[in-house]
Amino acid sequence: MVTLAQTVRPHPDVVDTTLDTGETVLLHLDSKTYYSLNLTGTQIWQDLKQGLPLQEISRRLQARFEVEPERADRSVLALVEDLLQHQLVQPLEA
Amino acid sequence: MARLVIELTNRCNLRCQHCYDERHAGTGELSLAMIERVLREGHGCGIDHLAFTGGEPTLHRQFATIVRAVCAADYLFSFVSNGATLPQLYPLLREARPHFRGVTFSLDGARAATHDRLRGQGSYRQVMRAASLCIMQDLPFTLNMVLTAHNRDEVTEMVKLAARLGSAGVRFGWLMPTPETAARGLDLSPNERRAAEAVIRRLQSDAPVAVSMAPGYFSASPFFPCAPLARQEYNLDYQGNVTLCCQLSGYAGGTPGTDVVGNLHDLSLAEAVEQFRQRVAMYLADKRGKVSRDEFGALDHFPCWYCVQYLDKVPGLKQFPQHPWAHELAARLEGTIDGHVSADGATAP
Repeated sequence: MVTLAQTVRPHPDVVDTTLDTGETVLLHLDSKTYYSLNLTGTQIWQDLKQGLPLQEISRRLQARFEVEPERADRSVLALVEDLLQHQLVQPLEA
Repeated sequence: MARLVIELTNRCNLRCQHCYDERHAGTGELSLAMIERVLREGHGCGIDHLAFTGGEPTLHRQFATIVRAVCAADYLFSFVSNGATLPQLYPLLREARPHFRGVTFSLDGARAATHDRLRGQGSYRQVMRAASLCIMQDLPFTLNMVLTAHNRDEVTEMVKLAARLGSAGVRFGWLMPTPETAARGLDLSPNERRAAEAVIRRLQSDAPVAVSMAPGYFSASPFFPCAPLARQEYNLDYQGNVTLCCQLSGYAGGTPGTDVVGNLHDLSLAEAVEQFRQRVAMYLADKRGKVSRDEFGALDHFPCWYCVQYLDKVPGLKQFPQHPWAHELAARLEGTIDGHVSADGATAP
């Protein structure tokens, strides 16, 4: 179960590329599977790359897209759950 | 219709172990004026496809201008690349999509460590990033793997990788021995080459992607019909030379210029094409003579190897008498030609 208190980071075996459309494509070098992130997902991904805690990423999302805190929290947690499930990120060790 | 292979530049951002063209540390490039002339004259010579090589062709300082001119002149085009510049280039390729037939990424290992050992740290990830961009932008791409002693065990894995990445196919090319590749232990012996060919042929029948071999594989017939010899492909180097083949262009060592047909600073493209045809006819006549005199040895059945000898491109291998490709060459120089390839890859007396 992911919580907003956590920090995760991109898996070292993931190649990420952000396109001029605002989307990001992720390629996992082990599975050779592509994943795409929409504009919101890209913003979250960029913040994950900076090593920000999920709470802070949610806060930034609220500011960028003018969404309710609860909705931003849900978006961040849902995406990170997905990314963890596909081993595209890994928890940052304390 | 024919294809014109154009070496846009000898500039390259990588220093690959197996690159036989050490000029790629250079900064030369074909002028835009010359390219525009080729575009004006090419259709009249039956050329409809331009294939850009280098060096890294996308490092030509006017690559975007060239691509737009190619599209405006209604040619199809493709290019080879190590993928490093794709993050900057894909909008241009998207714009040129109706004329763009694909990019071939050089990928010399199914595994990152193998590829990076040959091409430099981080270069595998650059290809993967480039493939990601192509997938997202619906830009066709293929992979090309030059087989060496370091990666020959990854043929099957490479085919699986190509399929997994969404590549239109994978092509296996052959490293031509040079003193540098010999010193680095990169060369496959003739028998190792044939073993790799056998693996590739098996994969061709049931692979989920197109699997092909570049010319140079063993041919039972002495008259292997590669594209230049079939006069379906011409080669233009970055200095304006029309040459017999891009494989031979800039080959380090040997007698320089033996593969040059003419230079576009002195000739029209139509004149160069005509001289090319005459040169190929001479080449074929020489080969027929050699075959009729029973001088066609076992290693001559590897077509590119035959050409580099015919054009005196490999004298440096004499420094490596134990090298499996030098053995027959040395024997020939001493007038003791034999002709069969032994089990260990050397040519037996």
